[in-house]
Amino acid sequence: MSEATTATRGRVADALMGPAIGLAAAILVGNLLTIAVGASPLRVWSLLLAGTWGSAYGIGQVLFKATPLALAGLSVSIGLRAGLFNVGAEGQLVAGALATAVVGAALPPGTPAVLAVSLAIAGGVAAGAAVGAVPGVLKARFGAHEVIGTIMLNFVVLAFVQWLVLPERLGLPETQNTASVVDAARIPRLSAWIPSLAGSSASFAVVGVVLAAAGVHAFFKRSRVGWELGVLGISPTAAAAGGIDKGRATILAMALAGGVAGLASMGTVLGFRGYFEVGFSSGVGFMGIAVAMLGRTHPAGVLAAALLFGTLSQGALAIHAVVPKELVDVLQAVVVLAVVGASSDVVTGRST
Amino acid sequence: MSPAIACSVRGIVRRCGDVTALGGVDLELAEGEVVAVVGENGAGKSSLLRMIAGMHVPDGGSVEVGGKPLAPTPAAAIAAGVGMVHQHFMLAPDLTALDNVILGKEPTRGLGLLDLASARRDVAALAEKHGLGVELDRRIEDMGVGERQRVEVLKVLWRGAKILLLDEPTAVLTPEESSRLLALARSLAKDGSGRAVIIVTHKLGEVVDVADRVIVLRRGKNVKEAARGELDVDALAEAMVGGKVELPTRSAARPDTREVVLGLRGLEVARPGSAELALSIGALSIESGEIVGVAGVEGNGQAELVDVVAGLLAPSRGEVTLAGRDVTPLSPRERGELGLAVIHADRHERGLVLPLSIAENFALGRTRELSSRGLLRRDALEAAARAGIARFDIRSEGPDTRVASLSGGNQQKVVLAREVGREHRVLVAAHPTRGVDVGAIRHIREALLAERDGGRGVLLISTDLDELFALADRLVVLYRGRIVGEGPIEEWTIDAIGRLMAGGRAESKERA
Repeated sequence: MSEATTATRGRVADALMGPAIGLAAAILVGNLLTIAVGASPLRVWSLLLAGTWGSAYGIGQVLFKATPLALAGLSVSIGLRAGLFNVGAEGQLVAGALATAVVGAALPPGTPAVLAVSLAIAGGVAAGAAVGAVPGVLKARFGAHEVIGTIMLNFVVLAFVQWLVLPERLGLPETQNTASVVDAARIPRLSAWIPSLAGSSASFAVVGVVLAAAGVHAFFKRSRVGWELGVLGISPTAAAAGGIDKGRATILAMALAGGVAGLASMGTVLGFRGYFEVGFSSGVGFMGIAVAMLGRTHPAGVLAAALLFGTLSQGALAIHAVVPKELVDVLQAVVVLAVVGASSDVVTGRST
Repeated sequence: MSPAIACSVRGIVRRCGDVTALGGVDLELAEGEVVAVVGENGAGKSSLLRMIAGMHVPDGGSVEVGGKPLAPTPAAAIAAGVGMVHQHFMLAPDLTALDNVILGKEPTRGLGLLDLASARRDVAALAEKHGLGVELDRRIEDMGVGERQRVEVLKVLWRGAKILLLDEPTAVLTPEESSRLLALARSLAKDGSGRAVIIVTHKLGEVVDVADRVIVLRRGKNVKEAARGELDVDALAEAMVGGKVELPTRSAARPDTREVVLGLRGLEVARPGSAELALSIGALSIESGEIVGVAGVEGNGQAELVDVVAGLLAPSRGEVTLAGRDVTPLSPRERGELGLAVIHADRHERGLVLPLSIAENFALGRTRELSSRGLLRRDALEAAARAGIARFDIRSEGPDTRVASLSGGNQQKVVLAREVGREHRVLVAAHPTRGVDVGAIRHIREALLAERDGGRGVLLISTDLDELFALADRLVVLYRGRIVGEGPIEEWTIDAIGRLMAGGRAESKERA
């Protein structure tokens, strides 16, 4: 028994190795770049921390920024767990956000809040799942690689959404926005319960993220279908011999990944803006790939990685006075490169 | 004056995780000598060869080649004159034999241009000199196993190897091809060139003829050494397994109820990119209470046969019936639910999910049975795993042990326990004892016989003729995807099987 726990501990340590190397590399490169522009690394790091974890407002903003990152990361991790590389979280997320806003705006004003929020979110999940399922079907039926399918579909979806949000269709005149959702469909701010978070954009969508992560975890560990997807990701040949229908599993995994990505914007659309605006996501879906890899596709790891990226993204505003805020982009890139380099099995889905 | 030492290994240690593959092995090889290293699967034979070939970094001890310590890289080993013929050939299938031979040491003239003309001349001369019949312009993928192996040997000689390492060279050959290869190995060492040969095998019968010395390994240690002339096959066998082992054989009596549980009719499987069929079986039926053995050199349609029956490969024609029902259009899962259990040849690729636990591996192919309302029943999984562990003596820390950390024999026992533990009427077992220790072989044989005596039908594919003779009631021989012989086991002799396995070529050669 004790040997088994030692082995588990060893595996956890192995899994944390890549992220640890990534962080160390990012800190090192961050220091070098800071010195190169003539600033003090210590000052930059302390500003970054003070602007994020140093105040209740900062924490709230980190949570707000981490919300879509975590859900996009979960989406990508679902694909990776099943042996599929979902590069389409961006398109799935945007489709989901638009559907969420449209459903939220179309509800009768008297709808009970719980129902209204649920319906709006369900609309987003359905739209994301539909967008995700397309490359799944293309792969299952015609063998088209999902990376190509998802990348290409991003462009299609983004263009289609832009067209839909033109004023003569779903958009409001002279804007790139949709109409606001009904009040009942708004997710309350966290500051309603925790007054010190006042001013921050964090909403109860944060709770939804934790629930989604727990759900994804349970799905892969406990459910029959989830377990079969996991086997497909580890060993496609054993999955085939074990009677797992690869085509159906592929479509299902992609639809699920898309559905979770469709959920990603709930904090932004229902908890913050109250409407959909073209270009609001600014690549969060792509950041989800980095989050999933840094989190080693484990839901808890994805949450932690999303917090880190959320911290960097919020911290960028705080350090802008001293160093260009693009430093943060470089740091994020370094983290991802180092993690991918230190753990190639994340990409290939194999470990011996 | 004794001949110079070609290679010496002293106290070599190799650990893989918690497993000690080699626990201080010694080996000395003189020029002109043929040494056989024998032992069970997992005894460390292949690890020892890979050490000498520079493929593994030793955790202790030393390897010297030609009196100099060997740096543990393949390049250093090749430079020192070590050449290894791997069990799984390392050839580029879509290149010709000539391309493969010269790959890595290509003759060039001026400006780095390939000099194929002189390459062809020199390689042909080399092949001629050693009696290695190879069509140099044929592509590897169009070659049979025996010819591929000759290409491997030629490649090693082309690089000027002084020490030839042959890893289980006869495992894939017919009896006749095997004896030719062994004669070649001996002549390479004895032609006065100073070459030396190490042959790794677990077939004792063949080393007695060819080796000057035999070294027996067990669990990564030297346990016995004997020189030519004082070789006793029984004593060697006992040293290999560490005692006398009686393997079970089938009883004469067969269960009375006989019905066809697995039937194949007019089955044809195309070979991609070739006019020749990979499999063409007119009719074959397996009754309840019998073991039907399939003999043949590997690559003669066995893999296709298993895949077609399992539902992983659609036949281009014909049908598969399971207990009288046509299952040709059904998926592997549906066939499993109708009573088909399969032990696939490659347990790492197909039979198991290595990073998962024993208990989870019991769910593979049985998830519906072991779940309710869409959730896996962890308790049922664990109970199934515990029962299997107890019945087959699977050495582990319990159901939560990762399958990857088990030995080959125990991994195979997990597959076996899962497949015979489900409700089924037919068991297809492809090479079930390959790469496992003798203890596991006993369990596997007992389980196969219990299947038969329990009234199930068993299709046993094996390249081990002793095993087929011990277990099968009936035997068919596959050659180039066709059944070239079929009959009750009593009517067969090893020679007759061997001839058919080789496509009758052995006979025609004698006439010529």
